[in-house]
Amino acid sequence: MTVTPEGLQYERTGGSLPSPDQGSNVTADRAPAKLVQGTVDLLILQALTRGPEHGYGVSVWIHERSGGQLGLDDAALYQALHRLERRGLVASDWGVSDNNRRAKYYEITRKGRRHLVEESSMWQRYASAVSAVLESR
Amino acid sequence: MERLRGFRRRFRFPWRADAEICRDVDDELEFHLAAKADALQRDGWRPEAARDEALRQFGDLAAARERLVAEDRGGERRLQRFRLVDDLWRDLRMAARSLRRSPAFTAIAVLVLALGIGVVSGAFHLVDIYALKPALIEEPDRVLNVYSVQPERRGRLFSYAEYTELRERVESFANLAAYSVADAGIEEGDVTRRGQATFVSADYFTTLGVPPARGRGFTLAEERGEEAPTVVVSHDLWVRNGADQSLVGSLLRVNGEALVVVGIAARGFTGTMALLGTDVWLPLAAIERIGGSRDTTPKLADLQSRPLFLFGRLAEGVSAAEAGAELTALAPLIATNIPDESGDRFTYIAGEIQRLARSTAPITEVESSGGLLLPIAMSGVVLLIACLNLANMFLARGASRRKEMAIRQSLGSGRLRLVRQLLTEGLLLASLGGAVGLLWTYWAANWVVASASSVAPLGMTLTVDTRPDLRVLLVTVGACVAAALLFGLGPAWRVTGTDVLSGLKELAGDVQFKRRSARTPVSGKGLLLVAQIALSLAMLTAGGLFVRSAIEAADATPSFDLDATLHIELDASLAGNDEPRVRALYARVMERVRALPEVEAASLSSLVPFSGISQDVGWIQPAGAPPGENTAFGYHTVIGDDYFATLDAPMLRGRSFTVTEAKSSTGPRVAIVSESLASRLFPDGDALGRQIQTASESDQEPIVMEIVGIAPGLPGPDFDSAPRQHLYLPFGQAYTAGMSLLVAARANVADPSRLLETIRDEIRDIDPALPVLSMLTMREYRDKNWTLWFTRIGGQLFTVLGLFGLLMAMVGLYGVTAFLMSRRTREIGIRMALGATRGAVLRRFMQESIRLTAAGIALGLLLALGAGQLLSSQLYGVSPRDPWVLLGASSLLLLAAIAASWLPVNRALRVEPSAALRHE
Repeated sequence: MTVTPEGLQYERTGGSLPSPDQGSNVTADRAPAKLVQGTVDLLILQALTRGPEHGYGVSVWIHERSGGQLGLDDAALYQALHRLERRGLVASDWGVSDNNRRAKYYEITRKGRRHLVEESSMWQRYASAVSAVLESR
Repeated sequence: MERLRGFRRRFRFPWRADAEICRDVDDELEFHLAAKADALQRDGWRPEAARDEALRQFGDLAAARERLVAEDRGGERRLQRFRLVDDLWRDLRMAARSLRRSPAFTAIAVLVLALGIGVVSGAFHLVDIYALKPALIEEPDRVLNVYSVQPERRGRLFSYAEYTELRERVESFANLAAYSVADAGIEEGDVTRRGQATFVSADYFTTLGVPPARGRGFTLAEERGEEAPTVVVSHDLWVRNGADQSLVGSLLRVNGEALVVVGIAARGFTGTMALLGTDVWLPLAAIERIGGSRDTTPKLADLQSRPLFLFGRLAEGVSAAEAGAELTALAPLIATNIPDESGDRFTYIAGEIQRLARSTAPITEVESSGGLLLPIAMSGVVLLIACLNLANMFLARGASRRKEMAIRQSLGSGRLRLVRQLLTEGLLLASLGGAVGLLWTYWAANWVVASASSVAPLGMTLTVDTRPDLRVLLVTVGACVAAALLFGLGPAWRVTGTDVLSGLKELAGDVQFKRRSARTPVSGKGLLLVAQIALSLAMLTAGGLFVRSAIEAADATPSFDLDATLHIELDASLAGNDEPRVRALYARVMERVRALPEVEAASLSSLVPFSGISQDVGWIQPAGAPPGENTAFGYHTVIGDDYFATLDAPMLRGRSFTVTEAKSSTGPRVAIVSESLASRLFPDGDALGRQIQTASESDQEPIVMEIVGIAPGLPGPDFDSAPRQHLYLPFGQAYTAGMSLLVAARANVADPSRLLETIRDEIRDIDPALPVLSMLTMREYRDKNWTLWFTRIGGQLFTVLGLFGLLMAMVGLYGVTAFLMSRRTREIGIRMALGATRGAVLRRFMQESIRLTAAGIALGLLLALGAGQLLSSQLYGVSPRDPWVLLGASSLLLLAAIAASWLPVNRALRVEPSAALRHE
């Protein structure tokens, strides 16, 4: 990610972030960015467009999609998920995971999709605008 | 990860308790940690270390848990609030779906409900128009009528002097107004129409708190006659004349006199009465010049002339009781100032204003509006029948859903919830039915009103506002809800019984051979059926009684030929003619009419049989009798000569009036009395030749007359067959401007109604401006009678509703029998396989239905007798316990019931025994 939206903070975290895909300890070349709540919601919603997923799966997907650049604070993730559910942007239900464990699955709702479409297009416009300013001389 | 089906959207049921919320959060977090630990283990971490690392990476688990639990708690509360709405919405959608699945049931149910609810709101609408909608009066409970009554409650009107004295002295009334009513000829375009005029005091409009919408009311000077009279027109008259703003200030001809229009009344303003509308208002003084067609024209200055009704508005802070007390105290005071020649003592009292009647003594609204309760009661019965029927249908339908209900209950749906859902179905049905019902309510109400207006006696304008009303809407909604509860609650409760297990088992081969248990499912429905049948019988009987009554009345053949006797209504005074001119005109008319070759006989009369208008009544006693002794009251009619010959009712004794007596007032005063009046006055001897005296209304010297003829009883204004006491006076000696011309056509005249045109031409030839108000044969005239109309309408209404009730009851019976048959198919199969004949099985299964019907008929007969008793006052010539009607209705019901129960049983029997045995 080359753009720095408002409120982004860089933080150094110790240790390595394991990635199930890579299967080895990989040290990120940059410390993962901590994200603002609104953006977290967008990411989660986007994650869920692929289909119902549990919280862990969402965090893994985001991390992997962002090339390891975005590290979500897990507590914040679940906070966001529950808040999204409260607002009716996602729905939850209990199911059984791959390894036969009881897991809470989230699914994006119609309202959530609408919200995602609106907000992400606004996000894109904003991003390109800032980008344009920053790149101009 | 597998894709899950059936995600619960947003709302969960049942809602989570606190412990459950905590558990869910824990489980979720636990899963996350376990998944992370697994991933770490795959990377090579040892299990415990992986777990610790996962925990460490998460951060503050406890804090996160707290926040999540708090979040969920709040969310859960919010869910609960929306749950109800969402549940109801879902109930509604489910209800719609389930109703769509059985279109026949839905269609029938909606129709039945439409009728029931429509009838209720229709009846209420009609009653609302006539009774409940208040007359346009400001703060009507502060306005009271003032009556002048004697200790024995005989009341009378007020004289102008009394009124002015009272107005000046009384303090508990802020305003006191007076009015009188008379017919007047109102010129509209180039036609003179008979309308109603109200003569009012100056403060009339202010007392009622509704000043004219345009222009002004009357001044005191106009009231007293010091200035030329002006006129205030009604809103409807203004609209009829083109709703032109310039009407105020222009001239309007009333009874031939041109008056300046000074005001237009507010829309919907009808004075103190809600029903009859006035066309014009005139100041009191005009009563002498214009108050035309009475035989005694009131004179304001005449102390004994009493034409006025009084009412007043209570002063601030004064109660009705206080006002009444003051009035009673003032009465003797005023009596000393204004001598009363009758010598009677009258006192003044106050009473609430009457919306539906004008009288000289207070009668309660309840009495006058009693007849209006009838349609409401009737419609309530119809709705009840409809609901009972639907309850039955719902029960039958519900029984087939027991399995569904049982399954849902076993899956955790609360009973209340299921009941609520079933009720929603009912409510949806009721709403649909109500919507349809409302549509034809207004149509039907308009029809009834139009029918009534066509029959209303000339001169009475029925003011009716058939615009849709909020209250009718509310009543309809109320009826819908009531209906839904009535027919939905019972069945819903029964269907969602707590005995879930038996419901689940209830499927195959539920054959009950024991009679008792076979009877059980019927008892609830059976009761409903019995009730329906009973109510239908009662309604049919009422309808039958009315119909017979109408037929009897129609057949009431008087002495004269209804088709060959013509009735022409005249009122020369409406064109502004005074008495001498009126007499001259009528004399010429009689001359010309009698000269016509087709005319056998003709006569004038102030009142005519079947007129429906109540006549003037006077007290008569033998001449010289002391006051109060041996008085009888007789109905006044002013007639010309040849009256009885025209009506083909020859005098019993004595003679009819001579031409001289009919024309002029010279000669001794004479009278003719009817047989019944004669025997009442002179029980011991022949009345012929005897003298009688009347106390005329203005309390002058009693008029003494000699009886020159005894007349047979003739039909009165109404249809009751009791002999009437008539007093006939000759036209020469008494005067009424509005006379009816009765013409008897010769027997050889082919079409007497054509004669009407000929007579019209003759009249027009004599004086083109002479108002001819109606021309009908006596049959047509009779058919316009109000009472007859009411009886006819009543008959039609009751019969239609009764038939409908019958239809519904039969549908119910059919349904119940069909349902029973479907459950006992196996039993039928076994019986037939064992050799029972078709007839035997048929009889056996029909027994049930017939027993129910018999019970219904028995109960219905009781109800019918009761209903007949209630209606007996409205019936003519028919006993309320008429056996033919009762028999007819019962037979009809029995036949219908047999048919309704035979059909499904027959159908069930056509099934092959082997198939029946296999049936599940």
